[in-house]
Amino acid sequence: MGSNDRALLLANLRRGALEYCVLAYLRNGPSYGLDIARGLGAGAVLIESEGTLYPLLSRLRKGGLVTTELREASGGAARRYYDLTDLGRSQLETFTDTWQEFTSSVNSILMGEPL
Amino acid sequence: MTRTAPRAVESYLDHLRVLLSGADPADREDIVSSVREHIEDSLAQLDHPATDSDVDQVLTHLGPAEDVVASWADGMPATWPPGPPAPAPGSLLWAVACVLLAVLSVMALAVPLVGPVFQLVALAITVIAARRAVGHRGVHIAAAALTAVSLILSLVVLLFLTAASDGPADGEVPTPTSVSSIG
Repeated sequence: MGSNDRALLLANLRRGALEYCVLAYLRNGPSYGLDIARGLGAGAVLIESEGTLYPLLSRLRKGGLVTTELREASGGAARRYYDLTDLGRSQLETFTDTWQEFTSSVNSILMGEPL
Repeated sequence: MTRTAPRAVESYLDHLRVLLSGADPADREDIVSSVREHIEDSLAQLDHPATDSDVDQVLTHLGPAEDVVASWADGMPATWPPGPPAPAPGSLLWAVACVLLAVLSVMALAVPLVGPVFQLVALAITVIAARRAVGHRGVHIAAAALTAVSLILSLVVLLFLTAASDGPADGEVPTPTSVSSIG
């Protein structure tokens, strides 16, 4: 498999999963964009370009899964913090259960085990 | 940050803003201002004044603005990129009004003097409406064409009537003009 094929495969796998990874990252408390990007960005598996995180955060906010709040950063500039809502937490739990079933089935098939 | 650094940042953000021009304005500003915060945070965390190279590195980690827009478009309905805008609700009303003006222009053929004035005004309105129309362009163009034909017919009739009224009266035989010599 070439690097282009791998990049395309990763892009397809990220769809539908990355937003829940963001919600999972926020489970421990409010965080700001750069921190979330660095937290998810290691290895470039979940995030290839840090900038792609922001449209996703905007969608999560519009969907009511996170809230934003402007707080003063150490340098004096305002920085927006994202926080998980009850709806976001509930959807994360549903995703977590479903993901475990999904990956379990995929792993079984990949390993040649009966479902 | 060096003097040239803000230019690179502003250029990146301007480009992003342009690429997001199809987005809801509130979404666009939300995304652009979040990306700006990300850049400012990244540069503020350096232990030395930011150089051009630092700025380039931050922008490289952000990825091309096209990638940011692609991420936004991923969450859009399948119709993205948007097709031609749907006709505005008022455009059907305009189309009906123009057809009405065209029909009245045909009827105005029966009114010799006032008719052409009405047709001229109607033609101006229908042509402007046709040029600005987003939808129903065929109807607009047909209405303008019908109004134009009505105006031309009116002018032909008017010219004919004018020529007839200036001509010799019925039964009158034209006589040769007598020329008197001078001197």
